[in-house]
Amino acid sequence: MNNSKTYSPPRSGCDSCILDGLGLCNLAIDCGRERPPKGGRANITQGEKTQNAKRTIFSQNEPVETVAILCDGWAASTLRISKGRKQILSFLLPGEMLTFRALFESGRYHSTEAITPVSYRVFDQSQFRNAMFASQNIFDRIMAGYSEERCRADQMIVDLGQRSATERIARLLLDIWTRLEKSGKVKDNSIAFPLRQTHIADATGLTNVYVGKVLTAFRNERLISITGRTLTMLDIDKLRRQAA
Amino acid sequence: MNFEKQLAWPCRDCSVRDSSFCRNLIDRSPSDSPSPQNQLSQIFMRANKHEVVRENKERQFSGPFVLCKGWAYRFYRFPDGRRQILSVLIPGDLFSAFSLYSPNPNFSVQSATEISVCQMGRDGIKQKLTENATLFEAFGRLCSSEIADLTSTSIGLRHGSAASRITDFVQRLVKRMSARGIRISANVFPLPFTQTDIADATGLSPEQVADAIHDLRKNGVIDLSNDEVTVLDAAKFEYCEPFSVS
Repeated sequence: MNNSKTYSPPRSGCDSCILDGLGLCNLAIDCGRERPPKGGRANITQGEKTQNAKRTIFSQNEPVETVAILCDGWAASTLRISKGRKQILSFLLPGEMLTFRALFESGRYHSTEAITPVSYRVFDQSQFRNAMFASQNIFDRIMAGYSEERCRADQMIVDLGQRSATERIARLLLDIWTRLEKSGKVKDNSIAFPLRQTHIADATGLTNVYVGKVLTAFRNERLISITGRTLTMLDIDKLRRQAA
Repeated sequence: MNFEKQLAWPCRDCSVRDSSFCRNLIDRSPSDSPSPQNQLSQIFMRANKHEVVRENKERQFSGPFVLCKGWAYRFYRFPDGRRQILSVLIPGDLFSAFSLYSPNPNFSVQSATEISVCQMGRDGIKQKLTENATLFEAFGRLCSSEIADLTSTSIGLRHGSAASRITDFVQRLVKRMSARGIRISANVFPLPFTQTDIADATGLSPEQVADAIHDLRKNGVIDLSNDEVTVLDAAKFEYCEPFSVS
């Protein structure tokens, strides 16, 4: 492969990308992470897109033509519910699929919004599905990721049904921490943390004021510190006990 | 797992097969045994009212379970004994479509009545998924639908009042039962759950559930008694949707 002509720098999500090693992503081929398949390019129509922070990537109810992987930045799956309220269903981190449900549905059930500036890679939905059907390896990898989405959906029910405000927020912070830790993004016991109180409130079904009180309590108990856009973990065991 | 094995092949007379995922997997055979084309391994079992699957017990799921008869629910248990019902399982439901890929369940299942279940062989289903595009698509839609139901359940828990949460819970259940042809009469559906079960599904206390059920009956919306739900006024019942997805 002639890297001097086609080289693209890898994105921050490449190391933990759900598609890593599957031969589906032309960016991974271009930046030399993966060997090109016969013909030199992956057999799925694809492209890279970007979006600014606080802007919509996909809108609720729009037709689904593509599936997308987040390459850089943070995003959120959000659902508008009546009375002007919003529920954040999940936070999306680099290397994750924006929603697995887009694989098999014709309309988008929820919106996807950029929290920070993002870049993401879009793949033709029907060609992507054909690749899953043709390869047990691809199917198994995607289903493993989809299963995690099911677990997160289960935990949201437990949050809203049973967990206290403290438990909900502790669990949310630990979930993000664990996912970033798996992809090697914990440095000096700290992670990038671009979430505002309003994001946490919309994800946990609490008010901004309540979220502020709980985060202050966590700081005072020296469980975490949040400075600028960095979260430092001070006592993860104690935070785990708070998460129930 | 606490199951008693059952030997006969019950799929021939199953009333929910044609309205469930099983229709994609099991041939309609006129005989008392599966047709030769049906190469799925199936183990049929019965269980009384108790916990039939316990979370994080390794290798329990050598294949996904289908609830053939009776009622059950999937739930999460806290170390301190609290529990949250995640989803109600009605005849024809898989415990979870995702158990095809997760041998260690991260949830528990409790039967609410006597139940019959079928455990299908994982490898056989996976093989069929790679051979049959229609089945592959149907399985993908089943997974999407499972996530959609869970999301709707979450949103239902953001209702402020106890009556709204219970109405939302019953509405979603009645909709699923109607789609599967499960009803006692035009406006009466089975609901074999205790008030404690309903409390654990809706994030309320049993006392709040009792009060809300009383209010819903008094206002002529629904009546929950004797393991049944009666829709007293369809218009009022359907109108009680103050927190729907817009």
